[in-house]
Amino acid sequence: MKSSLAHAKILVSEDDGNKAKGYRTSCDEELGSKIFEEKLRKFKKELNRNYESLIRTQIPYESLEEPITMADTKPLIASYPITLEQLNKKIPEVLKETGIEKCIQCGTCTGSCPSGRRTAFRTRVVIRKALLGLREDLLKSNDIWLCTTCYTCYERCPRKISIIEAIIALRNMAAAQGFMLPRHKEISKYLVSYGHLVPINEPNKKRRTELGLSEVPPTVHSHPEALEEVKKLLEVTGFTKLVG
Amino acid sequence: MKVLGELRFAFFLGCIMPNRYPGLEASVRRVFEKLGIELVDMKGASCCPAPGVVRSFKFDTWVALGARNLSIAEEMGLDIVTGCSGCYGTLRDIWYEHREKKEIRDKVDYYLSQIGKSFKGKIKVKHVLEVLHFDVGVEKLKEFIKKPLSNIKAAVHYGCHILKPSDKRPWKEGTEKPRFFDELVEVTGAKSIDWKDKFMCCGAGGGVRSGALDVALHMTKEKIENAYASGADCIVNACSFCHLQFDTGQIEINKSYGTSFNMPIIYYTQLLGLAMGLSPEELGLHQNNVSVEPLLRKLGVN
Ligand code: SF4
Ligand code: SF4
Repeated sequence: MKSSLAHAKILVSEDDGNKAKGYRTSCDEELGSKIFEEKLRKFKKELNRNYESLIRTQIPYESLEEPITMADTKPLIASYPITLEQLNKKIPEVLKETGIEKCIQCGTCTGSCPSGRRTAFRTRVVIRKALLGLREDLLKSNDIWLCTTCYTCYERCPRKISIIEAIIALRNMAAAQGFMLPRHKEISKYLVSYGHLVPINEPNKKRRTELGLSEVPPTVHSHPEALEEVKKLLEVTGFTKLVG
Repeated sequence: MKVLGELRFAFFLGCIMPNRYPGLEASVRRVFEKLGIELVDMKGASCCPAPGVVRSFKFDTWVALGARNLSIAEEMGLDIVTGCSGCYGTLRDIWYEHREKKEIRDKVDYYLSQIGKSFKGKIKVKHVLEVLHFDVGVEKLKEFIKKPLSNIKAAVHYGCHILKPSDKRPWKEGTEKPRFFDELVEVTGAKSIDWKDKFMCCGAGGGVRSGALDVALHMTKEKIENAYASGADCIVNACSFCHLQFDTGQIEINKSYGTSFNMPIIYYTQLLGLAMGLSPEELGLHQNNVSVEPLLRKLGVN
């Protein structure tokens, strides 16, 4: 319910904005009709009642008026790291390098998404919300965590938008804000302790021996000094603190 | 004329291959040995780190640990080969971004200097299939086939990160209908069959297996159903995480959906190894969760 209403707000607002600028919108024909005016009023009433906080986080429409350059269609990658300082900036600005402002909302991404096929996750909506800067809605929702990073949408997007880079950037922001799934925190701790997200265990030591492999692989598992290096990097990049 | 004996690689293991499916590791090592390709251990390598989770939580950690792994191979003076498409995604993408972007080079320099290491981008990152396809080649592989797997119908699962993002991958066939993996399977004598959603994700990546297991398994279930519908004898993969998702996942699916799937899951070098005359035990096939007996019986191996 929540997400469909939030979505409705986005669509209504988009049409409002375009109308004001004199652009044709998909709703032009309907716009004059009483039914549409009635629908619009009802939507706005509900949304204002339930989504004040979301509306507050929405960015002004001026940023959508930036001209889209057709020339640059090579994939663009987000700028990292996403620092706390940047978190206070508008999401579309932070994600600018992913090219999301070129999105034409065609839905090819959603139509290609194996995760969206069985969940309410809609890639196109995530991109739209990011453009609008619906920060809380994005960072607190499960949607951004349902992407398997299969890259199908990226390969098919007619605007060559770096969709996965955008989702990864949003996940980095969410994690920095403390929105991490409990299980993700749990497995991260294995990396911090062992240098492997999936460390060796007794049954697999046995399997290795059976196969004539070394009981423990020649990785950090066999080299304590190497594990110290990994721990140092986890420390200086802030990972240990993030998942601690 | 290629002389296989001159091929040497730093063998990057990752986590799942050595620590959950050592049979896959054994199969890569034995097949490469037979082909005369030398694999040298990367002492002290760590988790790649996983692109779906670590990169999602903290981008810099992903870059720093990935660059450390790359630096180990660079010190050895060898290109990396890995049999896990997740590791491949991480190492190849970082390698690529390091080459393309100063911002990433600065990060790598800074973080690696903290542990007295450096990476200059002098080595390459390859997938096991990439070595077999480009460096060895299907024609050469044919010479090594001793026991063609003639009556086997294989549902080939490419997986995602071996193919995509395509601008950072070596294949020149696009991502909608490539053929290189099918060709590698068919050289063993098995038939690569058409199946619905062949190129769909296994469901495990992006932190979905760890974060939303039900969603991940639902995807895997759809793939296994499609494989059954096509009359496949097995699903052949080229990624240790896909392998885990199909094999361990199948047990989980049977538990939560009450199904009784028992579709054999074969990693590519296990399939190739069988055709080269290696025994199922040498290739670790008996260590799968889902029994491969029906397949071996059909082959007349056991
Ligand atoms: S496929 Fe690309 S352009 Fe189309 S909606 Fe998705 S992100 Fe936007
Ligand atoms: S990369 Fe993520 S959003 Fe894109 S199609 Fe795959 S699962 Fe969906």
